[in-house]
Amino acid sequence: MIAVAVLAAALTLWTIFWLEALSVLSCIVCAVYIVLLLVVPWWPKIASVVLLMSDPVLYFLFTDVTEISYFGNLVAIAILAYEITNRSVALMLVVCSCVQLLENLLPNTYGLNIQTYPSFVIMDILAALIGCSLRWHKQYFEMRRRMEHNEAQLERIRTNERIARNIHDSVTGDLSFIVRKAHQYPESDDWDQVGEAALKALSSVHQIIDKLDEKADALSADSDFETFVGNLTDALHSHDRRLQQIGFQGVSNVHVSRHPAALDGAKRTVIGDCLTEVFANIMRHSTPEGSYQVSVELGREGAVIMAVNDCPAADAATSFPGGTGLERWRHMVCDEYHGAMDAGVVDGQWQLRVFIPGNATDIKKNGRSR
Amino acid sequence: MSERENRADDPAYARNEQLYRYPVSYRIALLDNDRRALLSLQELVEQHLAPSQVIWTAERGEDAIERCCDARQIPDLLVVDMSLEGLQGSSVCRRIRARSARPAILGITSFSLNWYRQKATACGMQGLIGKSEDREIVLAMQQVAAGKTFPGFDMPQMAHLRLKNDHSLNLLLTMREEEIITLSAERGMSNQEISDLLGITEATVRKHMQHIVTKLNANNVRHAAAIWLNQAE
Repeated sequence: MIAVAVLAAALTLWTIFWLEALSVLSCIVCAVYIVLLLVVPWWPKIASVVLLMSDPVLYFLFTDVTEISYFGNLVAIAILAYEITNRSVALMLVVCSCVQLLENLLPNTYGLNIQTYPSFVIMDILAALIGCSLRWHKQYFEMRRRMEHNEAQLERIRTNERIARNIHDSVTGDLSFIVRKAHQYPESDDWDQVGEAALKALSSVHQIIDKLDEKADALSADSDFETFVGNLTDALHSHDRRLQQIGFQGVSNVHVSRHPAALDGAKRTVIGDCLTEVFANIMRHSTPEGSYQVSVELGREGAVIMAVNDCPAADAATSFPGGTGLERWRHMVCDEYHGAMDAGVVDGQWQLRVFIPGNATDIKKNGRSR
Repeated sequence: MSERENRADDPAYARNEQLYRYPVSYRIALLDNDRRALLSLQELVEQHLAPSQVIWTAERGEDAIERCCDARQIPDLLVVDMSLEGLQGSSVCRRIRARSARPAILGITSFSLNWYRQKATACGMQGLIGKSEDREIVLAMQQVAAGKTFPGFDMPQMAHLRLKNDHSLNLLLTMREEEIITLSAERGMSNQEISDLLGITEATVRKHMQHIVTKLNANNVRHAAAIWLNQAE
């Protein structure tokens, strides 16, 4: 970019060299223009926008140096095309073409007319295409680098899995069989020794397999997410303890799929609050000493909270759990987070399902595009 | 003092011993691709869990799924080896759970338990146990058949509710397609090797592969394998 800026500055200087009888003000303008060109590598967007905007200013206010903007314009268009999106590039070309059309149509002394207009537009488009193609090239290489990284990571996981499976196929099945056979003869010292030795060998093999698994896990570890899952698990255990102290029987679990969708802070808070509400409702409405099950699944598309609990016959006909509470949650989950909530009584049991979608970009990144 | 002697003083173990005193009859089914292991597990049930009985055994996941979907053959407890040829134990469980809350399913493996734990909880099993300790296997079978779960595992009903709307890749493919992509992606087998193993023609394998590529929205077989390895549960 520095080389391009220096080249453009040199060409502009060359143009200035051939201009006749410049005023002091025009000389200053030329100097400022050259400086602007030279600072482009450090402030590409700002400097390029200023360069483009200076073209009509020079045209209308400094008619003796209008020609100096020729190379600067092309450099500014190319650099902006490199820096901004395709849509913005198209918009920029439309604006530049309109300005150019105005300059060509207005009476002038530089020989600009409607016949020369297409050549200016074509040059602008070519400059933009150069910038865009460099950007596309860069993006393509970045994508290839990412793909190669992902493929290497996949290959490592695949190799680890294959090694583990080979170890399993060749060793662990037989070792387990030996251990079990040996334990069928507890009175025999010889068999006991064989069993103990096989068990020790089996644990060593398991340790090696676990090491392979740890390596695969370490590749995709996200400590922030792990903390969230840990906190969620602790919260569920705490709710379980409280319910069990008053006679309820139940199981609560967190399940994390292989590539869970990212959940921002607000969604994580909603999940925690929703669980508090779910457990409070179980306590309020479930059959005394009844059973319940709560599950939180952090999947590729978002979080799913599910609760099943015994429901007294009287409650089955009402808008359990807790009238307005349910509606408030439904409103929050569906309207604010674009999720889903289903609740109702099935076979005498209250069933609740709440879906909170993950952050959109991560769903796209992790999920299939269909 | 040996580990077994220590257990006798353990109150939790003593509670489990209660299970032996009041024998209950459970219908048990076994799924393992190793015939030796199947026979050995069947012996274990006959010796230690009578009057419970093994109502059927299967060596292929597809057969077990078919039988679990037949009301006359559905067991109280299905013991599934996690590592099978083709369709894996976790996938068999996921497919059964997606359809029904019955039977209770216990995973069993000679592999490291840590290796399979996440898969076993996610696919709707009620517990996971190693293959090496007979006594632990018997206790685990009794507990799971009696409606209990291991820590971290869902009850069958919750697992069914969770998985009946499952959108994972596993359920997107047919059993045969899953078998083929597993052999191709995880074991690196060629179409020829897969066709020899499954006893089908290479052209059929290729046809299945085309369907897999379409269903996974992949560009080619290699891409489909990468998606499978990366995203399948």
